[in-house]
Amino acid sequence: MKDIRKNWLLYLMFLPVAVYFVVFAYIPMGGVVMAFESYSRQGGMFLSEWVGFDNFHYFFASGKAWLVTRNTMVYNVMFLGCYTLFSIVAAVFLSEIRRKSFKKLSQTLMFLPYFISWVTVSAFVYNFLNYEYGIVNKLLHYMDVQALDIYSNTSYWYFLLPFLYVWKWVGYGSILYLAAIVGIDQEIYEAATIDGATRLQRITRITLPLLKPTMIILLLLGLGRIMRGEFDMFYQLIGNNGLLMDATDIIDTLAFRSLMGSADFGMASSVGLYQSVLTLIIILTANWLVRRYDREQALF
Amino acid sequence: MRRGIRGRLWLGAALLCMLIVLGLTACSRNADKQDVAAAGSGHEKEVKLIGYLIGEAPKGMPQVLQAINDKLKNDINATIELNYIGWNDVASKYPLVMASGQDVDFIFAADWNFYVTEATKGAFYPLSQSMLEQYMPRHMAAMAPEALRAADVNGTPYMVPTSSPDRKVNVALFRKDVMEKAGMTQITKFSEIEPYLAEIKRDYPGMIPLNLDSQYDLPTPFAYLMLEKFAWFTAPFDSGDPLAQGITADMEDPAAVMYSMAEEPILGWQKEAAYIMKDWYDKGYINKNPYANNIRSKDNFCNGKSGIAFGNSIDMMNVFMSCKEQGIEVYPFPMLYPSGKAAESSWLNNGVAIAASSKNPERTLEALDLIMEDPSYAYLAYYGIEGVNYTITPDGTVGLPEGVTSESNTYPPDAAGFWFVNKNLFKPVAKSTESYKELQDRIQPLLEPTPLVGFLFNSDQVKSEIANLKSVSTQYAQPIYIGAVSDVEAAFDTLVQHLKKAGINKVKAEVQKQAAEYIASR
Amino acid sequence: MSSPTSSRKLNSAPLFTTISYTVVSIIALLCLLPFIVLLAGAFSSESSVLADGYWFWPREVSLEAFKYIFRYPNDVLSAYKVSIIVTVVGTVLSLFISTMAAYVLGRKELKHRNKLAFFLFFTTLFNGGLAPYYIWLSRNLHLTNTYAVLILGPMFNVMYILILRSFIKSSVPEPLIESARIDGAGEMRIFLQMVLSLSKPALASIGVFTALAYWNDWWTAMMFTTKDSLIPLQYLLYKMLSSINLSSAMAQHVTSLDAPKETFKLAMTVIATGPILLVFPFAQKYFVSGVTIGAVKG
Repeated sequence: MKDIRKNWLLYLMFLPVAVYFVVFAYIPMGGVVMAFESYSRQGGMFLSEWVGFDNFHYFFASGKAWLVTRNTMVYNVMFLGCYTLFSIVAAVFLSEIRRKSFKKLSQTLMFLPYFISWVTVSAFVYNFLNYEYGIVNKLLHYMDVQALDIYSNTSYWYFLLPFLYVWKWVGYGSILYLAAIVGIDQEIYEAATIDGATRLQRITRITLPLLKPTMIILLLLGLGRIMRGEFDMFYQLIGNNGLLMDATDIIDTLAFRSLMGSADFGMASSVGLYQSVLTLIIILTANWLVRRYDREQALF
Repeated sequence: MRRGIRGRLWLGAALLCMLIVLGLTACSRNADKQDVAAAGSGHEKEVKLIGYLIGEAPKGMPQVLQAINDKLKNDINATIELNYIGWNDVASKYPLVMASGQDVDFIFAADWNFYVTEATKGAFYPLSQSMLEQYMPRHMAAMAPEALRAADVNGTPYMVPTSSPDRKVNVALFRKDVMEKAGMTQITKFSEIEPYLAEIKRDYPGMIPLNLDSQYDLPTPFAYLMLEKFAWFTAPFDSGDPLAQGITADMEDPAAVMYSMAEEPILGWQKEAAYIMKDWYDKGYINKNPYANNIRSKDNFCNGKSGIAFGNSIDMMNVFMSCKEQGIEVYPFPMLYPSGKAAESSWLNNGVAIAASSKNPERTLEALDLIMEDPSYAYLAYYGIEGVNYTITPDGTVGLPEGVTSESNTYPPDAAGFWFVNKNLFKPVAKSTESYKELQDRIQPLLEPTPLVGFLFNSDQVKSEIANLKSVSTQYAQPIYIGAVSDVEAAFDTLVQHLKKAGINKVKAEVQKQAAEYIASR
Repeated sequence: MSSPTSSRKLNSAPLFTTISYTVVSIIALLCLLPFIVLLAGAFSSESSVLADGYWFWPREVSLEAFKYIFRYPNDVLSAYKVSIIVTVVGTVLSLFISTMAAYVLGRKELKHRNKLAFFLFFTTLFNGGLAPYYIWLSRNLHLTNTYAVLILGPMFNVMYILILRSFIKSSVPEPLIESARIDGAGEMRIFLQMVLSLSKPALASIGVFTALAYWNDWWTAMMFTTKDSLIPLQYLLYKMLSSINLSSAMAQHVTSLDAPKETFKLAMTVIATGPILLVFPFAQKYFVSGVTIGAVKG
């Protein structure tokens, strides 16, 4: 209370955001009760028939709950790792480039894939990789190599999916890291140079350590999406391909496939709730670990 | 001085914040609440009816709607306002619009579009024979009495079905030039088309005999093969999803005995079909990755990329025409039951429902009666404004006015979502090809009513089982449909095992129960 | 790297420079190539794309897809207008308010700052799902068919607020704030005059992201608008695509026999991307030029 009275101005500056999130996030959040109800118009959001955990039944009875949960986590960890690594590499090298026109141009180019929606990406991938007249198989044909049947073989996708993910997001990610590098005080570099540090040393000893706070926060935020996400990517690229499914099924695609056309709010929210709870556990653990290691770096 | 600056800055920021808040509240339109006085039986009070249709408003909509509203205002002192739910958003937005209790008076309804789910959830206004007779006399006279009974959900109809259900069958198109080369003059059985497929593989580089897409075509060749065995309703009753396994019956069987697709005799028939598909797949007659292909075979047919086109006798009309333009002669092969007949479409494939939240259900019904059955309204809603969007030619067909092409027409026929109007009121369409007309003439007498055609399954009791059947089918049944499995027996073993685990037998019991009730009630 | 004492020599270390240029060029090329294919496809005829697939140049030049999109130029222009208004107004408001909140969250003297951060962060973990959100906004707040919903819907991204917080913490040193305070500057002045100008690179990058989020948002419009005058560009294109896809099972008289479906997707991407590519370099100035500013200052 004393704190609020003393810093009321600062709290006031925070107020608009707080109001927004109460109205647009916290109030609708009450709707999670729908996961435990059989929704009807008469009952509405809060008074519909209470069915307990019935809505969760289909997900756990599918026999794939564990498989898709694992796939979701593994892919997202892979995506997050590759994305972070390549964003940092791109940002560091970009920052080392002195010619401004080149830097601007290449950064703009890296940003292009961000604009291509997954629908279009999937059309691309199909045109490049399909068995009958994909560009890749046409080239292999000229070279007298056996054509690849990529769409029936899971092993290619373990590489393709992270590759496409990184390709789409690297321009986006590198901007954040580049902004962090730009923000580093130049005097530190100059001092290091005078002390005889090589360029490589300046990167490993100065740039990378100073990127750590940005990296930690971005990783923590990335972890927040670990149980969801990239539905569009999986759905557009893999779709209902049964041959790839054990390797590429994630929570969202399973739920979508099962519930498509059934318009059941209860069953739809139950999966969302499951994802939320898992995410919450993961995030709280990660944040706790970071806090133990360095209080200032933690998210909250 | 310093204080002055500080004050100004602070004031500026506060003003900015206030502006933001004010601006946003000013932007948010105050919902114009109309008076909720109950509409009397007369038309003294003017009402505005809010309707929702599927698809997208054509460009010429404002003029057409104006014309409709002028007439409605005159006749029953009402006007309508139309909103559209886009095709891609139906699954997410339709249930939300119904659930949110917004102002809605009428909304497009059909058995393939959440009719039973929404009706059981209480989203629609309950109708009755007497109410419809009072407010929709023209429609009740034009519509077959079975149609309204077909719309019963727990004994009450919640939608007004169209009085002119589609008369169509599924159809596959073959190329006559290929047939000639393969030494075929006609096709009687789908399982005997191998010479046709082989001919394409041999002499038509770049053309794939069966170039299937991921949605519509994927289960279709398999379905043609299954139909040689029994009168199969190509989608199971429980989920209604043609890609899924589930509960089915012989459509011509008056007793409507229900079978699960995981048991004999259906399972054995499925295996026979699967062996043929696998043979074709292994010989390279089918594209390797139908899952990733989004172009339907009918759109790849006339340009020579697919050897066979799959569709129905209505949506294939374009294919007939564009193939003719390219100089390709086509041979249509309708999908029929072993008896040589085909099922009539359900009564409910087009219709309209009144929302439970409607404040003027009576007036809405009156307006719909005019739109659906009064020729002057129906032409407006379906074809647009005469002389601008369509014209009646001297020989009595519907054509385009001088100077208007089908590209430039701002109100293309059928595009506005008024699919439930009585299409029997209209004169025939001008353009069409000879072979298409032949096909139409041939199939019309083949359509028969089937015992189960109006059967609506209410999935409430087994919704988690059905959800799992659907996801199991995607993974284990779809590869079988296209023949992409290495061992047919093993693939079926896995499939059946998963179907049982997903609860197919429980679903069967529920379908049996409801079907028996349905048959008894007829 | 023989003579470590000369910084000029260091900066021109040939091996390292070569590596930098190569790595960046490779990444940039990988990103550019598909875009060239995309441009080529957008300017091809539908039939040539269907027949021969995508290629690096148009095999049969045609403006068919663009003609289809611009059949009704007024629709496209009005959609551009809506998109621009929403993007500009939304980005300015969102960026200003977000930065203010981010700055507050980073101030050490606030005891509850971590609780506030968690208050924001929690919303990214839990949400009530689509149905409650839709019902609340449309039925209770009456936000359907307003500019307000297009601006408010995607307004704040918790991730950006938290990123801004850490940027501000690292680029605006605490002692600087302290000394300003001792000089008698008020909170608002510190924020407006110091924080905003010191965190320009961060503001530029988050600003770009926010603008992009607005620009690419078709979902809010899809859910909450039915009026033609409120349709933003991305939703217009999305609607066109869905009407092209219109399951013709329903349509008895689909009029245009070959609406350009494949090339349409590509042309759509070109049209939606174009304006942002024009604006991007301006924002880029801030997050690229920081280095030189630093060097001059040194």
